[in-house]
Amino acid sequence: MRSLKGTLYRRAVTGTSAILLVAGTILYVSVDRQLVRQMDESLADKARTLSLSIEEKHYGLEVDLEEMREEVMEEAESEEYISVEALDGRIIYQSGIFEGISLPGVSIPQEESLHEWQIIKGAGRLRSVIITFRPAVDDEEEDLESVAMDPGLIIDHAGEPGDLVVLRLFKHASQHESFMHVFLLMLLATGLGSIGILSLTLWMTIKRGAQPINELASRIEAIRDDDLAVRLNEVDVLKELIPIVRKLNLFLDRLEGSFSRERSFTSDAAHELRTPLAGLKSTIEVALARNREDDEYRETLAGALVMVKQLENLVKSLLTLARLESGQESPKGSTIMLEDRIMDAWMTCREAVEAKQIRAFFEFSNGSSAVIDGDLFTQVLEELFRNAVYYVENGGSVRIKVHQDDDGRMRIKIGNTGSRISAEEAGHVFDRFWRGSHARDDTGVRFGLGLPIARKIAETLGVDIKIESEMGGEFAVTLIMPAQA
Amino acid sequence: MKILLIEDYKPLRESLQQGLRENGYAVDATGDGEEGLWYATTGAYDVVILDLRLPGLDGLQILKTLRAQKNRVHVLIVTARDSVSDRVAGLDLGADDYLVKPFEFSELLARVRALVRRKYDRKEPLIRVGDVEIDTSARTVRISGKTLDLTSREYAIMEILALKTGSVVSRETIQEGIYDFAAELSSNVIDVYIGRLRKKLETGGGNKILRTKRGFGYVLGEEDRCDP
Repeated sequence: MRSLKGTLYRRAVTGTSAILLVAGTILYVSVDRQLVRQMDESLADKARTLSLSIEEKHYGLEVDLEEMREEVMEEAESEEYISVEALDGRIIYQSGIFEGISLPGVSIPQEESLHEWQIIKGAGRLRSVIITFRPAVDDEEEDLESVAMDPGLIIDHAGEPGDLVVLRLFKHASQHESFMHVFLLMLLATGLGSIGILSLTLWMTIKRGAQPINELASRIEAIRDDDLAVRLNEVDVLKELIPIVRKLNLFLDRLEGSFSRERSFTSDAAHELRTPLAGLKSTIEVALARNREDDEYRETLAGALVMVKQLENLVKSLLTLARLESGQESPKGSTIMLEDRIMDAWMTCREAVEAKQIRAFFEFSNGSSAVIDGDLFTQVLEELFRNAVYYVENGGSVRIKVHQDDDGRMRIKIGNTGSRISAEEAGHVFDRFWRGSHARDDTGVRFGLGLPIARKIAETLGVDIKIESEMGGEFAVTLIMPAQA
Repeated sequence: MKILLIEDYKPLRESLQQGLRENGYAVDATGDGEEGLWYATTGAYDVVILDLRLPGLDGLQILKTLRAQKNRVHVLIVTARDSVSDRVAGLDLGADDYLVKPFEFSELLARVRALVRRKYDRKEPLIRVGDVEIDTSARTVRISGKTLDLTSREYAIMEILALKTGSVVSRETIQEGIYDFAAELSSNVIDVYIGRLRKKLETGGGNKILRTKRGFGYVLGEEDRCDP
């Protein structure tokens, strides 16, 4: 399981390490470049100074080694090496380290210098500066023999007056590399140390920062399943956590409401089941308490059967409601003729209609149709008709009107006379197990589930359902069909 | 003994009424809360069996009103509400007992008997008057160990008298205890029942423990204890 502290810690350490790595790399490269630049400048200056040790004499090109050595301590001490060549590649003078080695040829314009790293076999990695120049002309007459005998001088007779000379000055990279190596180690040590200290500081900070979250978690954990009335206090909570606390409190409100409704439903369902069960049990026990005539037993059995049927209806209603609420119904739309469905549903109530001498008035729009699940929609109509027929007074009337409204949606209004509930009470008719006080003497017959079932199916079908009631006047349910595409 | 039964579920109400009557109780029954309250405040009942969910007026409201009127009738709540909070609410409002549906009818009878005994301040179900034993639990009358063959109404009269042993019980009290509210009575029906009861007692060996106090009523008790 991922931990917030662990994630924050890992991300902070990784991020900081990455920043340090980038910064270290930039620093390392910058220092390296700066040092190389300085080295290049120094080498270039030195090369130009060295170029003054080469003069064009009347007998050829003269390289004054003594002068050169004043500037460049060759070989091991200074790790600097020289190569003086004619432009055609003829070697005039080279440090001993290059003996037997052919240096790569160069071609650069006069007065410019070329800096590059070179790896020379036997000499290793070297930084070189290459310049080309025309040696200064010295017209002074000198004795050629004495000059030839001078070991501090090198005479090149092969060239032509005015030829360009290439001077290469090399510096071994070992010093620079040693320095950069030490510098890299220092950077790594500093970086790792910084990461270590930073990690520790971050861990402490995150731990301390997470404390309010831990406290909040403990308070949430302390909320018991059986006491959802508890709410989290905002007063001693960090500003950043207040939205979470509010959301949690809202969630608890909804949860408590939902649990409360569920408990209430279970309790109501149990109550509605227990009462007919008690009636059944008591009827049978009383009947069995003594010997009776056959007629009495028959009467008892008939009464028991009525109660069993009532229980059956209740269980059926509860199962229907449970199935609807669990979303098991998936409506299948098809075009239905509203008039047909209304008449079919109405006919299921004909016995009660005849018994109560109810007058029915139908008003249809010609050819009204809808695209909807016909079977489910018929169930809605049957529930509403049963309700209307049950509550209308003897000799009263039920009116069913189908019309299309300005918004193009079909409306079906089912109204019955003799309403016994007020407009205020009408707001409760869809509450499960709600029965108006006038209907309470119908215990075991009406359970207060018909209209909730009708509304639940209507919701599933996308049908809006509205109630109007006037005590002593009309009780009307209007179904507003979904808009047709 | 007279019972008021307030229960809205008609089949249950009718079967309880029948069962209680067959056990010798006079029973007035209604399914409406307001009517039930009216019965309870105007009649003299030994026990009120009260449902809680009622049309008209809720059972707890009825109980509250009765106790507010200092009506001390013993109330047995019979309901489908089984939560502890419902029981506590009912008992705290002054109910004497609480029975959850569905229940055994025999248990209901036992609880009714217990409430009747409590009303007459008797903890034991057995009442002795000389050689006669009235067992309010088994609803039997024995003389020297031999059970008398009494009808339920004769037993009911015997129990009314036994619970007030030594005291004069008026004819009206007996009448109220064995007849429902709506029953039409002939003028000497109680005298007839008393006569038959006395005969059965004397035949069984109970020596003149049931006597008439002219102008006052009847008294059950041994002779030396009963004269006012």
